[in-house]
Amino acid sequence: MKLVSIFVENFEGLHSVHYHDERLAEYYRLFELWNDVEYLLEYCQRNQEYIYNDFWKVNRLEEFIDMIQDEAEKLEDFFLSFKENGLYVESGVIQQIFIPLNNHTTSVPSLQESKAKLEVSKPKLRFYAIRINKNTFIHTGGCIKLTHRMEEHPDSQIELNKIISVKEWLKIEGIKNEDDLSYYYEQ
Amino acid sequence: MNNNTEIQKTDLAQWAETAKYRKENKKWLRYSSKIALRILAAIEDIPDMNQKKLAELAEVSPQHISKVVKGQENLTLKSIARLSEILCKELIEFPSYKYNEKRSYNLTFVAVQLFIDIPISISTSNKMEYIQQENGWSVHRSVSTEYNNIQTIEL
Repeated sequence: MKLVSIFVENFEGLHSVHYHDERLAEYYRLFELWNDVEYLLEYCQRNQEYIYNDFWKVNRLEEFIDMIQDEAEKLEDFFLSFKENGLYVESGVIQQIFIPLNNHTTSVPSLQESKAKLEVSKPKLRFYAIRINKNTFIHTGGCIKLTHRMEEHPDSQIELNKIISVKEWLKIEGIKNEDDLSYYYEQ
Repeated sequence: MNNNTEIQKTDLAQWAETAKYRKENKKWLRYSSKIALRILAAIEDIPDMNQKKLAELAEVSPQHISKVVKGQENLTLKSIARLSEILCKELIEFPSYKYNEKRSYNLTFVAVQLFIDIPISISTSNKMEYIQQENGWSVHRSVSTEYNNIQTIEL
């Protein structure tokens, strides 16, 4: 795997992982997928058992696809605003959209596993990342999260594995702050 | 600066452009998604139909159809109509608007019409037909008027 900088200022900002077996870095790959209605329909057809239930209260697949597209649009706009206005825009820092992956944690350890989701009713899209500091995250992937726990769906389970493997990789590469990122990119 | 960094800069520029494009064109891109979903559903419903065959029948490239079903093509009305004909399915609908809503009449006016016999409707039609006569053919013209649903024939 390797890192790709999505929007950075002096190595502070959002970096995304490009896995060897993928055509695109995770950031680009996800937005391409979430804007591809053929993929979304196939995904929803394949996961109907997770969609038609009491939690989502969805009656039509198109309704669910609409909601995913709405979220993808808002999420991309959020990140685009950092690209267009710089990292310290009035709305805050990247950290405002990320929270620790573990809902019960109160500490902020080094290389903390994190997730991003929109503040909407029953958000469906997740971005996963490793936190370097309040404005620097290493994006590891993301998914349409259909279940309460990540382990309950194969796609989110894969994402969980990716977070763990990227964290290990960062440790091996010795990346824990922006100076280390600077050294990584200059290598 | 190594090659990877150069590639990353290109990727970044492309992403920013793509994201901006999606933002500026979101309204019609959403229309395109709606049409794409209906095309995909219609393909599923027709035996032996697939994207490749649809491309052949529509005389376009498979790449074009691939883009259409991803909801990323700015389709022309002509293209929509062509795909609709091939798939035997309407892909777009037109919303109701003021000139196709049913007219509601003022009740007082209708009551007055009933008592003073104002015609509610008058329609006239002309009809011409060949009639065979003893000494050959002639053209006969009849005018029919419908007045309050009572038909009168004028010759």
